[in-house]
Amino acid sequence: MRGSPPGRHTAAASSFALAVAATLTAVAGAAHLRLEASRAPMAAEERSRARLAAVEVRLRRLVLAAESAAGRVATLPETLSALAGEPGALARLFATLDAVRLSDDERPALAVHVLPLATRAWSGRITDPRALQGIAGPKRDVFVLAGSVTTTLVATRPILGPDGRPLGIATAELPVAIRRNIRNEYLSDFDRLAGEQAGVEVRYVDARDDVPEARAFPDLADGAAALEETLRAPDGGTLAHVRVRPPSPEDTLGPLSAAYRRVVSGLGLLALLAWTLRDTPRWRLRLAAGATALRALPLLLGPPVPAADSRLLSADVYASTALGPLTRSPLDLLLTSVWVLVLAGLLFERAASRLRPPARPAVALVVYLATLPALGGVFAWVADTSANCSLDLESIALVPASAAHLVLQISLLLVLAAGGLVLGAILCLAGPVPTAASGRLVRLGSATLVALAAFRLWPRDLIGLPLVPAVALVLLAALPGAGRPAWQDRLGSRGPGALAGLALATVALLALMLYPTLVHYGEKNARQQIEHDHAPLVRRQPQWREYVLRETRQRIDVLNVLEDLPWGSAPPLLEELAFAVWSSTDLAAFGFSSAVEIQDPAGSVVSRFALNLPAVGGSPPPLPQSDEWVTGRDDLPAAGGGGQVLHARRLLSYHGEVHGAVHVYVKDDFWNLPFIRPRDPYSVLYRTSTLGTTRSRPLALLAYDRSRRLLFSSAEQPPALSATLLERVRRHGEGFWTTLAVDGRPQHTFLFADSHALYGLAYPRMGAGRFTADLVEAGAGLTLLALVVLFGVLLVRTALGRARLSLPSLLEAVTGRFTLRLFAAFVAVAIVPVLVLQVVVRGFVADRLRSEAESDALERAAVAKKAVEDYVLYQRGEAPGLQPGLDAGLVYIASLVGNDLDVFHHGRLVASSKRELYDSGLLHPRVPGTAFRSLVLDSQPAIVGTEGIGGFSYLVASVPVRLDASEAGILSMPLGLRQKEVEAVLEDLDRTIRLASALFLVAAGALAHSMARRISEPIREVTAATRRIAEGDLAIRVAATSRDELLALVDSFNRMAADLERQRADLERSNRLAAWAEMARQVAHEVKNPLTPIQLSAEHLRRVYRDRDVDFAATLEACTETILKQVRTLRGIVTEFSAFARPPATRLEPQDLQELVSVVVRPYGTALPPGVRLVLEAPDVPQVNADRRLLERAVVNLVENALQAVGERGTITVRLQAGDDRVEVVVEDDGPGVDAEARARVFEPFFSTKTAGSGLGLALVKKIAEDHGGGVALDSGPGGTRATLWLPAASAAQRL
Amino acid sequence: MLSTPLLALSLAVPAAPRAFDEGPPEPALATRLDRIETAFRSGDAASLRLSLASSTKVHVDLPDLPDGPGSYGAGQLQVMFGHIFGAFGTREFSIHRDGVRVSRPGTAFARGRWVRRSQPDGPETVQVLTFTLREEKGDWRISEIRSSR
Repeated sequence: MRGSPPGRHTAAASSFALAVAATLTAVAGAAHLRLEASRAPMAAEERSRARLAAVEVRLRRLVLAAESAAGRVATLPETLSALAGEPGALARLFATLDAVRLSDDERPALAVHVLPLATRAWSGRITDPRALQGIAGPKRDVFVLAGSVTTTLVATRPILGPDGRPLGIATAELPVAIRRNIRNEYLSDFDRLAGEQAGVEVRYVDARDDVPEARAFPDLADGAAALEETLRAPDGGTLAHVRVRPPSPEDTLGPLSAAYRRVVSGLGLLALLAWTLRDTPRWRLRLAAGATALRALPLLLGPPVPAADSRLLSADVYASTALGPLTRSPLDLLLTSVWVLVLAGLLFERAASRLRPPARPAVALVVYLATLPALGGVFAWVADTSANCSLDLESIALVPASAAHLVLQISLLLVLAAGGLVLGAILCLAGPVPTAASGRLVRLGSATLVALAAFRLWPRDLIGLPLVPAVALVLLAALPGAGRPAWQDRLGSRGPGALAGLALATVALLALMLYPTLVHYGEKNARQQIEHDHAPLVRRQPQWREYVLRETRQRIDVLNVLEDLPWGSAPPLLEELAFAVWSSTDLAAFGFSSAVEIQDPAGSVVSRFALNLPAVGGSPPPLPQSDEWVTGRDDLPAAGGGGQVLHARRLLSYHGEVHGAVHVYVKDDFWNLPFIRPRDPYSVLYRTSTLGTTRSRPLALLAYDRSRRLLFSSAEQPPALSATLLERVRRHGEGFWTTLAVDGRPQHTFLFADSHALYGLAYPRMGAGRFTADLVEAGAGLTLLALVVLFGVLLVRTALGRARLSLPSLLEAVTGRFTLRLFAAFVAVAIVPVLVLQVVVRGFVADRLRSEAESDALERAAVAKKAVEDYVLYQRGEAPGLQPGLDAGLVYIASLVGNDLDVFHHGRLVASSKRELYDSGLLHPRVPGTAFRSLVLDSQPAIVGTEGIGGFSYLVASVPVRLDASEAGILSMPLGLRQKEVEAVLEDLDRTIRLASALFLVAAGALAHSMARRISEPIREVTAATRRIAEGDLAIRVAATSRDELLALVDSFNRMAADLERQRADLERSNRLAAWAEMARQVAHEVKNPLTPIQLSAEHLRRVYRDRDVDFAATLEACTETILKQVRTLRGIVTEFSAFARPPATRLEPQDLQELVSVVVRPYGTALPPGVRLVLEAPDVPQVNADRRLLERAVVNLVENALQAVGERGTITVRLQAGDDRVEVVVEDDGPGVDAEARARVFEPFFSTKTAGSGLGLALVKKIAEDHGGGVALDSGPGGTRATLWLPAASAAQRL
Repeated sequence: MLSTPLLALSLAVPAAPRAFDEGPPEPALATRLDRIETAFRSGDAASLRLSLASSTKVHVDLPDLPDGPGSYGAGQLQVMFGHIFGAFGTREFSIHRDGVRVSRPGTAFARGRWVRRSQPDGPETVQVLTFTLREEKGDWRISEIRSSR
């Protein structure tokens, strides 16, 4: 009997060991946590001190970096040369400063100022020297400048001349904190001293403050104890105050507890997995229980991976309560879908394994009806996922957009697969399709009836099935059940490679169903969102605007703007003030096109910030008369975009003294709506809201007045509204869907109206070409993923030492088959050029696009330069010097050239069409040092560089512009919009190239497979035919199917086969003749021997009869005895020949060899010579199917041979033994043996080593054995001979 | 800024035209606001879900959201608020009824003040939420929750 496979024991041991490890870890973790909890109060102060020490270390590092950089700059040879006025030294200094800054990890902003504080050279974002007045001097110093938005650490070093006289100051600046209240993918606030840790507060002390040191922090509301410290510069000056709260026990124990839980969860899952995958007879129950436990464990302990902050665990990405706690995150959905798939698979396997006859029509109808809830459930699950997911699930790309996308799309694929299996299990209840045509017709009718009823009566609002995918899923599920016995047999006979191919094909089919399903539900959700959410948002926009303005006024009231800044403070302090006010109100929170202006008591605007609301006027607004809010409406000039603004203003007076005024403007537009895609690329920097649109559904908003005049459009090419449509909108005020040409392509548009205007919300209609391309990409992407998973399975099975479906088996299959080798070689050869082409094309196009963008920008910059110079000249005609209001001119010129513009003079910003980027501190109001050096110092005609705002980087084209006679100015054109266009084109190009590459590889693979088969088919046929020839079928021939070299191979083979056949026929004939001749010779020889005594006896009788003297009676008796004896001998010879020539036995019956051999051997026991011993070893052995008589004859022959061999003395052993599906009769003697030459011929007919005998004995034994499907073997030597007769056991013979 | 020769007549009036219905909210709206308050105070995300728009996604902007503001389904928001309520114990939540504004047709704005702690004995944070509610067949449902500055 065979024992349990060793793998089963290994799996059991592993499972047990892992379970023990999990338990021990849990116990150890609990003890550790208890210990830490008991130590927590004592450790709290320790941890607070550690936090504080970390802050101090960070500060020391920053101070050291700033001081070191300032020191380097102060001692550069180029610095002294530049300050000395050497020709070319200034340009070299700029270059050196850039190099020094880039070589420093902290990248401090560097500057060289001449006394009294005029900047000569710089690199990076340096503070305006006016802000340093009275603070920075020719001495070594470190201090902080704390603005409303940006806090900067500044280090200064004196630049000393050869005589030790101070010539200037070198500064190095590092931003230590930013507070913009903006959080998006590009920007976020930070504080480098406080870091990311909670419980650390830092208050920076501005060097310009005259306030003496006081307690920086108020008492904590909860009365908790905290550590406070003052952070000082090397010279003792105060830089900041820091307060550190002690960490709560949860802060300490939480991560530790989470870490233990994850380890225990991981070990537990591995233990369950090992237990589940054991190969046992009751594997179905084990798999179901194991899968359920594997799903339950992460619910209790949490998953071991990924990290807690992963998007795979984030409900922000996906979460649903439809299945309770089972779908609270993308990972939950994946685990649940795997679990459901396993259970569905078991259900299907169970249903499919039971053979049923075709069900009656009524039963089949009920079965078909029963599929509807399952079908509805599957698609309801997909619909629910689509409705509760923030991602664009329809984007199933070759390269997944993110891990979360991948996990969710795989999960939905598994849901479809599980649904298909459940449907298949239900359909199996109907049995296979009847073979009769009438039965098939009835089945088809039932299915059609159910389908029609479903799609007519289905509650569309509830679920709304996508038609094609639903039908496809049902058909896919119905296929296995329709022809069940056939596919089961076919599947069982296939190797693992074919099964893997079937799995991949199934994945591809499911992917082709998934994509249209997601598009269907995406479309449905989008329309509902537009009708029921976006349209009402548009309608309520005026009220919303007024509401937010009201709240903004209330917010500004509590800010006490300007209260703490006495008049006369350095103006640069105020530059960020308007932005600080704006960003602290809901105007920023909700992204309104708006502006905040701060006036001084004289009415001058000292600070302004505006989002999408350019300043186009020259004179400031009049000072408000009251410190109560006054709100009204202003009209915007056409240069500013036209339209109206809500304008609220009030005086800022404190304690009876007027400190200034504040104006708030909110424009009448819709750019703040979260679903509108703005045209301005920089607006993404201010938005803290993500777009609610998808890649395939960017929304555009159109607004028209009652005269069909366009009021607002977020599209570049809005359509004109026809009178017919206008009338229809009036009649259907709540809205209706139509198709309009927006931005030059047909778009689904929802038209609706309110009392003021008509609106349209439009998104692009997906064309058939785009749909097909995306469908193919989805199928290819998910199939590729399945291929990767399959490869992973191969790796795992290889690691587990499995023989089938492992890497070695794959390699063997590939190398062992010419077709696969050829196919693999074709694909490998195709991949390399495709990948190279992909990289080359992409690189070429990207370079080309960038180059074109730069050329286009420089051309437009040249046009803008001319316009700016003319404008400045025109303005100068009215008054000398650069006039205020250049911003308004730039806004107009920017609209002409289609790009934003900035103008710098003497290195500082003097005008911009995008002031808010500078007023908010996002951009620095000083031209980059590289541009200044190239254009002003080196007089280059143009330069294109790269700038960045947080993570948002863009190209900038700059040209010199003549503003006055003193020095050339610089006109810069940031290419953010163009860059976005280029990036969008490149993204589309990437997708197209990837898809084309994938399709090309698939086509190459298909072609390779076809060619490989055509090449290898004739070789395979020749191989098979050769095998048949080796088995003796020489009549086989191979059909010639090609006309190339393979035809010669086939012809040669066929000729060879024909020759072999002819030669065999000749050989058989000559063998037959030889056999006849031999037999005739033997017969003659055998017969001749008895004939001689017969003849002699007869002659003797005649002689005696003639001679009357001899006793005739006695002679007659003797001679007749001799004659009869010889006749008996002749008869025996004839009998032997007859037995040898007899056809195979036809009466086979189960024979008990133990009994048979005993019966044959027993008689010999009484007639043995005295020196001969006969031993019988006859254990119980399996029965054999045999003709008893023949079998007895064979055994007798073997025993007789042995008796003749031993002669008068020896031992003969007759033994029975059982082998692999056979039984052996062994007759062994200790006679002299048979020499090797005779041994080779003992089984030939008529061969004998004895003087007596026909020579047919062993030949007969061999024939009898072979007729029974067995054989005989002889092993002989000087010590004896062993003859083994073996026959197949009766059970093995039956299987055969 | 705007007083240039090109600027048209500036219409300055003492107060903006009335765009809202002011006064106590109508009963259905008042009931809904009560339920929202109850849900926040008790930290019951399932109850809060019943106040959310059911047929469309809800736009939510809270600093707790790691990915930033976005549009979420009702089921998603139930789970998300479950996490938020679990992490931050609500000490106080109230919607100022006097500040509720109803614009016609069927849109209301309300502000809630949310006081919560990050730990049982940790510091309190105060957040102002602006709710936009939309009337659906006589019932008011939240279509937007935004964190105000």
